[in-house]
Amino acid sequence: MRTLAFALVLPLAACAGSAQKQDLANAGKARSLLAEASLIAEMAPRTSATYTAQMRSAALEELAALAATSRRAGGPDGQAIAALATVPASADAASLRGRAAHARAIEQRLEAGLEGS
Amino acid sequence: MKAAELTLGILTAVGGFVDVSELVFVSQAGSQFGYSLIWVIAISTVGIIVFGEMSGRVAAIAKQPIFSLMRHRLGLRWGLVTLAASLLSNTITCAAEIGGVALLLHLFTGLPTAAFAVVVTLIFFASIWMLPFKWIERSYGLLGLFMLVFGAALISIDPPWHAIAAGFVPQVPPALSLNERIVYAYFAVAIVSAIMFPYETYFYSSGGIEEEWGEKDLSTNRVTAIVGMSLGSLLAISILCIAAQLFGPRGISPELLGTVALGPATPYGMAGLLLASLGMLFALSGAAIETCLANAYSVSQFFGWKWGRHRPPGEAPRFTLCWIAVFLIALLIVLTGVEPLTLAEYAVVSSILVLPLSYLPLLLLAGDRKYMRRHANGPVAKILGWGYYALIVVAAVAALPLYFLTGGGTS
Repeated sequence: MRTLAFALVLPLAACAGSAQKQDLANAGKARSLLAEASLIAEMAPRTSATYTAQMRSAALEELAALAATSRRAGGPDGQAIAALATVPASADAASLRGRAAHARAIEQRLEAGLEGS
Repeated sequence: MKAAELTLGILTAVGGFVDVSELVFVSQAGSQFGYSLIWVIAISTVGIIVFGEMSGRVAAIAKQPIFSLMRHRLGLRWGLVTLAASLLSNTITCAAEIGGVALLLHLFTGLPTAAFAVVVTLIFFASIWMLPFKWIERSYGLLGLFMLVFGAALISIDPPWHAIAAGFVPQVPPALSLNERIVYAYFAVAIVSAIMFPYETYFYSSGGIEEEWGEKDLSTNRVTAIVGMSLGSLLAISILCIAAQLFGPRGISPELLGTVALGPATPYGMAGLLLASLGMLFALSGAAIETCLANAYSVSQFFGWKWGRHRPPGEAPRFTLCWIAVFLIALLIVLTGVEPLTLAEYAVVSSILVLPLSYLPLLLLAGDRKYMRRHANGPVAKILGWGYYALIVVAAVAALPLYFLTGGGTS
């Protein structure tokens, strides 16, 4: 019986660990993309309008795809990461920076959790 | 005349040093780990100089192209394995370069990336069809010198030079967690692979045979390899340092190719952005042509077909068909919509697996006095060659586990 319980618990633990790892990767990607989007917004006066628009659109597209992936992954932080990655089209540099900082906080918490386990 | 030729050769090597994989991995490495991976760039640069010089020397003295050596030295079965793996790696790299060029053009115009991919492939096709070998190599290599703006931008942002100097010392930063150490190792292996891409030596040595190098060209070969590649690696180091200084503190690990060009835009504004983008555009274009031709050289040399751009296309029909096919396959890959950065990642991981098989026959022949006579590897070349060979074997063994453990450097 103990062996059976162990055999059941072990894959579950591994799955939980893997979902957490997926969350960690998604949080890191969200943090980077949000920070990139914020840099693009800040640099807008010094670059061309087309370049800024295309880069912003690429970053938001990537973020939208990441939000969908995070929701599907079903990790404990998946919804929070998806919410951060769902950026309104009007978001300015400061709000993007704020979201990036939130994503970084989730990332650090997950890193600490994974290191501890 | 000789000095002018030499200077041109060096400048071409500098302009052609960086490709899409280096741009991606070096920027991400800098933003995630600061200056602590500079030593990997420095060590890998010495490695590519060692093998580049060796391949040029073998081309000049033994007149042997790499894939002909491979078949003779590794046998048909291992030769075919190496050929298939390097074709795969080079084609993915070619697709990544075409995709990168198309993406850069899209960023400046807003026109569809797919349309640009078709147009740039046609331009590359016309370049190979119409230009003599030397001009293909030189025009793209020299135009790639726009990348020097990364070096100028680094000086302008006045980074902590003592920290950069400390980055040349081999190290693993002590403050890293276990997970971060694994990612650090992944980036170290990826940088070795991106700098020591085997297509560079296939192209370089085949070019030597195309240009009919002989004993008199040995010193040019040595100086071009040493000076050109060293200066080229300074560009890669500049890109890493800019990422460490400007992107890392903001939490950016460039996920978009266009972000890399924002580095020089920080001190120089629009002019910096334009120069960086032009440099990237031509560096990636040159690499697309080199990878495509490297594949055509490899197949033709392996099967003993007529090859070379010094022949009119009709005189080497199978060689011509090969490079056309590579461009078409690479274009189809780009048109599926895969991101160039994802392709670059696959290219780097697949390329490191090919490195040991690619460089072994070269190392054996370069040390063989029967073919190389008094130009065979001396004690220094032997120690460096086998030392680097051991390094790439270790990197090749570690590459796949590190890739899967880190999810491609993401965690």
